[in-house]
Amino acid sequence: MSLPGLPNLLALAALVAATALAPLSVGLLLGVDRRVTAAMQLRAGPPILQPWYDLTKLATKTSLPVDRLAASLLVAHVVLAAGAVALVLAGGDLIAAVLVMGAARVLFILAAGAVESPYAQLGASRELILLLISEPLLLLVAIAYGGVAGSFSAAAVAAAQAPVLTLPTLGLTLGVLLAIALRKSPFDLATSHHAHQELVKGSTTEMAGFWLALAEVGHWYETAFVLVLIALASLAAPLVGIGLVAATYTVAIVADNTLPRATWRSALWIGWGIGGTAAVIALVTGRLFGAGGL
Amino acid sequence: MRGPRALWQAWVRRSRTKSPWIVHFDCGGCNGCDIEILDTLMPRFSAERFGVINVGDPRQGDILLVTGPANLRNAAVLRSVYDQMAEPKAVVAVGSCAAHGGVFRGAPNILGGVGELVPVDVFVPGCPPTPERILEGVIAALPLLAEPRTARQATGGPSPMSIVMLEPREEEVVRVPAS
Repeated sequence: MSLPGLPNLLALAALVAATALAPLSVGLLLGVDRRVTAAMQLRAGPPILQPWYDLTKLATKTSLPVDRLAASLLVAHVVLAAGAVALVLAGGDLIAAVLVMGAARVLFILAAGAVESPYAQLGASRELILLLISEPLLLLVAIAYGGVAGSFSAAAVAAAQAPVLTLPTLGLTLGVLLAIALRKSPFDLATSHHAHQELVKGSTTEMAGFWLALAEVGHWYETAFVLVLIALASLAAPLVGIGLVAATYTVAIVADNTLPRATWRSALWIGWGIGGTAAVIALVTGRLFGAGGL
Repeated sequence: MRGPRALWQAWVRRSRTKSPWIVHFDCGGCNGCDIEILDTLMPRFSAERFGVINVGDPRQGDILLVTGPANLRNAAVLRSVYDQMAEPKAVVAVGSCAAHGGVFRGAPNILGGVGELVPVDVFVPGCPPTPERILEGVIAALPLLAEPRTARQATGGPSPMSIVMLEPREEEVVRVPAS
């Protein structure tokens, strides 16, 4: 046992702890989200710990029969989603992290489509459209960050000085991505516990108990991934970063409450039109004024 | 000082009683109770305060809200919906028909209340019950969700066959004039 190995072990332990805590903190955030949404609709709303209660209850339900293929795909989905978050937290390659998260979401879609229920299959194809909207935007965000930092590694992006100022429009793209990650809008694509959606249950129709809890954890990792990407824009100034995340989240909640009947068509237009354009503008300005230079 | 195991069990019991997801099944009454159940879930009565979510999949539900009388036509369906729900679970019979068949009692296809088919935990009186009463019934069922039915007695919880009957209020009692 040599001492020089110790700091690496510590860093590894910190990484594992951060990756494990990421979905739990997202759960807390979603609890606050439900309270804020309820207040906007003049309701009291559930306790802030509600997502944790739901998760614990689901995980401790007595076992239910489940499709074996769907179950193994779900496990792989959560492992890959956690891996993508860990990759960013470890300061790894952003492009790789985005692709790993994309693969994780494809595994979830396969898990939803692996069962015979027509609603699960409908939900799976709708998830696929959401993936189609968000995956190019995620790649554009990663490339824009790379243009500022001169490198695609998350560590370099975090160390870059004030990328917020060189990427003024990227907030729009990240807001669109967050709205998609939260699965509240558009009402004809998303599946969540929120009551304003077209399908009572889509992709998670055949999942129950522990397996639904697993799907929930995967979803929390996906949300954590987008939140970490937002925070990455201003790690040099943590207060600005927290403000940025809060502002983006508030915009996402307000947009969702204002547009409860937004359809997949408008999601595609807003996503690719506004989000995509904003990302390209950010990409160009970042390339011009960032550390990458011309 | 309680050990981590006891703390975890307390957290699990708390979580189970604070996250009642509802499966709504109509055996075929007049739909009056169903309209009131929908009202209960709306912002005005705000059942979400108690963690209530209306789910479409019995496998994801915790509380089965049944309306209408048990009848030959859908006895197997009600039984199947109940069987698909995972323990811990509870059944709340909403309205007069679900309690004893109501105005349909005695008809050739009617078996009686839904208690003939599934073990009912809470009876909510009324024809139809008000949303407040339905919410009261759901809340009365919450302690039963802390543990699976079979484990309730072993740990000193409510007995497996405990039945809660909400007392009808004065204005809910229909008095038949003596002829």
